[in-house]
Amino acid sequence: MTQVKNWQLNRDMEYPYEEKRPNRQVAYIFDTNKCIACQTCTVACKTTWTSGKGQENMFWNNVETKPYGFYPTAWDVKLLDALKGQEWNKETYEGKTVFEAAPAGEKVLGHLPSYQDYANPNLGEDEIAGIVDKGAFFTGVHNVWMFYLARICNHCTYPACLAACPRKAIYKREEDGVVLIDQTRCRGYKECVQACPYKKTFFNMVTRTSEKCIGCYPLLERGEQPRCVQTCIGKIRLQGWLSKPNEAKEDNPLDYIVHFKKVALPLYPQFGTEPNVYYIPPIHVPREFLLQMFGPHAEEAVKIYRAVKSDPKLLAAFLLFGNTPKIITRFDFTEKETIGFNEKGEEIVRVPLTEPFFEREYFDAKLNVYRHNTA
Amino acid sequence: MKRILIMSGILLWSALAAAEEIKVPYVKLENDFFAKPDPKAQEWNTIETTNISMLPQNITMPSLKEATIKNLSIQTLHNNKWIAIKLVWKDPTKNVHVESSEASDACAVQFPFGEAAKTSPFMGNKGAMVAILHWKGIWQNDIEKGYQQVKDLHPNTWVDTYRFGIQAAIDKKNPIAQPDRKTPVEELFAEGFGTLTTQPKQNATGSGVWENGEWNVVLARPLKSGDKNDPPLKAGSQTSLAFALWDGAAQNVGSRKNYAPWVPLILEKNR
Ligand code: SF4
Ligand code: SF4
Repeated sequence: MTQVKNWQLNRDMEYPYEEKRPNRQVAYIFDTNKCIACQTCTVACKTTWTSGKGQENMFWNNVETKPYGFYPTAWDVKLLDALKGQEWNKETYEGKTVFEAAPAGEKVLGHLPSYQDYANPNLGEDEIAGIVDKGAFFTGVHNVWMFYLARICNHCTYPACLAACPRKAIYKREEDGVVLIDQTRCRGYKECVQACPYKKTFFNMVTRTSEKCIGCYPLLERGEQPRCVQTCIGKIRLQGWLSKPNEAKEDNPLDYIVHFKKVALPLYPQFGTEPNVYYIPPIHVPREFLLQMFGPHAEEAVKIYRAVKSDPKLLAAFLLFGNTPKIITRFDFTEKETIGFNEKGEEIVRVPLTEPFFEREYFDAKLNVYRHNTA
Repeated sequence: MKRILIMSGILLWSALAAAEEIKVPYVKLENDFFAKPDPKAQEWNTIETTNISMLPQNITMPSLKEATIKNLSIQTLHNNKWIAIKLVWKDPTKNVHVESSEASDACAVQFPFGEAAKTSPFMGNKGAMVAILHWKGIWQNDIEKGYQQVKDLHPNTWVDTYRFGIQAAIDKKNPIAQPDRKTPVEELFAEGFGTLTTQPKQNATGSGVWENGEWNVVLARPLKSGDKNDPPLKAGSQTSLAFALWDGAAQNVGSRKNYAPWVPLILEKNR
């Protein structure tokens, strides 16, 4: 084990390989507040990549309802339980990562789900955390919560899947940080399935190899965002390149949201893999739950998010989500618009900060129809 | 760190012999006996058995804490053209499928290219290659019952269409993803942990039967195959053999295995 720097934990940690960051790192921001669990992303991914034999229950992208939704069953609570105390001292994680907590004879602390665990991807869907107060069903505020958590492979900086593979069949691409399983080298030992804390490598019982999200790299290679991002109905997703924290650029929308504003946070940073999907935490969820799931910045992130109306730059960055299939590497904004540019500096998207408002007549005289069916 | 491990390994593996030696008697047999070996063939009845204790692999990670199969019985014979090795071990459950939480029963034998004393029994080491014959229950099942499909394990699985599906490992000819497998044995070579590689030319044969809580598996290969990846064997000479067993029920895969280090193998001169 060597010592590597994990900025999400604000400390060095143990990892089987040396620190070697890719030339650029694929990263995503998901705004949990906007997800409607329509599963368009799930289906887009499924029909593109995993509709073959042996992939029946395989969802590289899934959307689960928290707190009772899991795919595979109990994936996170099982690991949280095994990891024991996960204390933070301000910014610094003082508990153990999955590498540091590995039992004797293992490289990573993990668990292997069963077939049944994958067979119910919508377990707990739309279930709320408690009971709605009597009388509040039809009036007033529902004093319970739930939220949708969209999940893909995090293309981690320190992938646990890669660390666990005894054959070195898993590699992280230098050009974009995408983590891939070599389908000619894998011998189906399932070590990665056991090790990935997010359960985002899957065993295919027909090819007898493990398979995982490939970050739609053929799209990345031609400057386009992955399928799950492009198709997202709720426009909750943005994919781009995230710089190392000391090289962050204020005009890169991902850097701005993650490194400058710290409003999007890694999922379970305490696992130690430095995941690269960053979540804007749901604003109505109890503090403790958010702290456990997104780390010590969660409360602050919610505050900043709530104040976005009076933060035009952050708003400008947010409005880039879901408005172009292309990868935005730089953004700028005016009083009225936000503008996204590609790597070549070409403008690829322009979005108004406030949608124009149209009021239409109740009756359309030209077509001779009523536009509303209510009086 | 790695170097220290390997060095201490070298010291260990001469001291760790699992049995004194295995004699390979010459038996006058047609080559057909080896081409489709039958683990229950009566020819085996008169062959001496060597019992070997298995150890949990705990040199490299991931490892086994305790042996999941403790004993292995070995019989061998040759006809001056082929050698056959029969492995018998107790296993109360027959595991011949794989999926996320199922692994296949399996066994392997390993020959050194050079001197066994200078070759790690743990899949060889740099500059000291080993050749491996590997049998798996699921490969035996592929041949007898057809390639495993999801419906074999989960008959109620329903799918609208597979029309757009890709099967990358099969398309890319990964040797473990062979829908038209011809033999339940795979020949490999290795030069240390993590270097296991399927040989381009496959010359081995084999067969396994599970009955009454016991696997009987025969592995066979030509003494001289002409393949540069098969260490040539010769009647009247000596080599060594190391062994590995996997219990599917205990999720044994890869380095999570039971092993026995080098045992001298003495090929009897033909009479
Ligand atoms: S999320 Fe899991 S599969 Fe993806 S890179 Fe990280 S450890 Fe590997
Ligand atoms: S497509 Fe977007 S809004 Fe719909 S479930 Fe997926 S992430 Fe949520």
